[in-house]
Amino acid sequence: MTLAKFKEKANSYFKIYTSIVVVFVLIIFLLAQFIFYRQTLYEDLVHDAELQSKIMAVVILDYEKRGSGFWNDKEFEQKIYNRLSLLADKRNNIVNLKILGFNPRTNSWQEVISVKRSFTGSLSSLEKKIASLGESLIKGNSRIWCNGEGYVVNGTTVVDMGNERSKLKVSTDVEANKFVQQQIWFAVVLVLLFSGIVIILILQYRLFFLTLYKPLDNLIEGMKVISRGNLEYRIPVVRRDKLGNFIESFNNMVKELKKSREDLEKELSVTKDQREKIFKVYRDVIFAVTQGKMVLVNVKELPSFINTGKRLAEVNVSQGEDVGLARKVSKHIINELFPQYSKTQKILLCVSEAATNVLKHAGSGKFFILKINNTVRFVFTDKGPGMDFSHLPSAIFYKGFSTQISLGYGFSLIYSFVDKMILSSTKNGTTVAFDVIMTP
Amino acid sequence: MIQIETSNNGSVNHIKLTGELDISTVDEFRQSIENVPETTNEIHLDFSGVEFVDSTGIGSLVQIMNQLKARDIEVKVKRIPVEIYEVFDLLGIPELLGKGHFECLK
Repeated sequence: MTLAKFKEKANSYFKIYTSIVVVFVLIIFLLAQFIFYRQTLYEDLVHDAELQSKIMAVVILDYEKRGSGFWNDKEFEQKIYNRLSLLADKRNNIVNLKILGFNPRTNSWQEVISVKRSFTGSLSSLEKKIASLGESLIKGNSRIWCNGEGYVVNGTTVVDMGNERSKLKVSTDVEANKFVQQQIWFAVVLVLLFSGIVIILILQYRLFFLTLYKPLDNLIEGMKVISRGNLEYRIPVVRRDKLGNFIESFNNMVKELKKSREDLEKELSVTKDQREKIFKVYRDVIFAVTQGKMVLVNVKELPSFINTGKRLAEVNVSQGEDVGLARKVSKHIINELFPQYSKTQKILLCVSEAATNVLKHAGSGKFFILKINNTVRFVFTDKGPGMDFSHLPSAIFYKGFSTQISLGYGFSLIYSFVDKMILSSTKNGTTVAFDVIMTP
Repeated sequence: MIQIETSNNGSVNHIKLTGELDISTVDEFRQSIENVPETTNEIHLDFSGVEFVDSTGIGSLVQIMNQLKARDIEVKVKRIPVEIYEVFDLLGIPELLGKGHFECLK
């Protein structure tokens, strides 16, 4: 990756992260402002409620001074009610006013008069639910509470009536439905705004990763398919950017790879044909120079040479002792069938050599004897790595010890004695067979 | 199967082989010769009891003879049956190591 590309990439990451940070800072700022604003409004409301109770206390004292008296007086209640109605506006609606007197004997406050007025506004059921949720969330010594009908805020004033013993307490519950409503909708808007921003951010983030990773997934998937050997496959190019260019180049590379593989296969089949031809020529030459004594056969022709005549015996050759066993079995068969035959020792030498070669070059193999009229065929097959025919001429035509290493020096011994030798070898195994015509 | 009898007569070591010398017995044969005393100058191998030998057996014999030659020990193969000698001859061993080392039973 070049420095410029790295910078570009780092830049895009930086942009995303800074935008996220900025948005969060803004949200926190907004939230702080809301909390501050809410606190101010709340304090105002409480302050108003206190003020209301003070005003009412002054009013009540005024009534009292004028000597109208108020204890259990219906008229007084009505007066207060009228006064409350007069005072009431949208912000300051006293829904419940209580006058409490101090009882020195019980040392507690006793309710003297209670005046109730109706709420001007009410909360919908949804608003009530949100408000109760808000109440349970924001616990504390809030002075706003729900009195059953609606939300109120309480203000209380204690008035000294001249002597220690007669004290008066004026408690006013001011309607706070409007305030609560405002808070609710402000909070709802804030939550909506906040979640909207978060959703947009998440979408942006997802989108960023989707646009980056989706094509990469395609690429990786495609590479897997191609690496499994399917060179027909092409990775779809859906983008016109650097990644798209890269995928296109990759596809081109696969195309080239496919072409070169086809070329190679063609070349290989030509080589195979060529090798087949060379083998045929080689076989004919060997056949001619040995006057038919050495026959090279390919895998297809082999069965007709070894699945013929009468099979007399079979020995598995896998260890040194099996070589002796092969000789013993051969000797027994020759003595049984051709008691007049005089060169048995030479045949045993050939059997010994061939069996030893099986052990040395393939580790293990099979030996069996076929009788075809008065000819005996000794066959040795193995699944070893095969033999190199190019050493054949030297093995056949040079007598002696030192030149015979590659095919095993027993090879020339066999060839020099037997009447016919059949040879087939591939990388999957070798078959060596030799014929001896049993004339005494 | 091979039987190897060793007898020491001064600096000449006599080894008599009876049986077959092929891939299954060459190791035993090689060991018996490698175990001759250090004082040995000459080894006489008696082949009269050898019933069979193939190129593997002869190969190991040639190898041993070359090794002993390096140690200045002369090896003579004596009383070789005619059939066995033919194998030696087929492989060109007498020419390779010197005809004097091989004595055929007539």
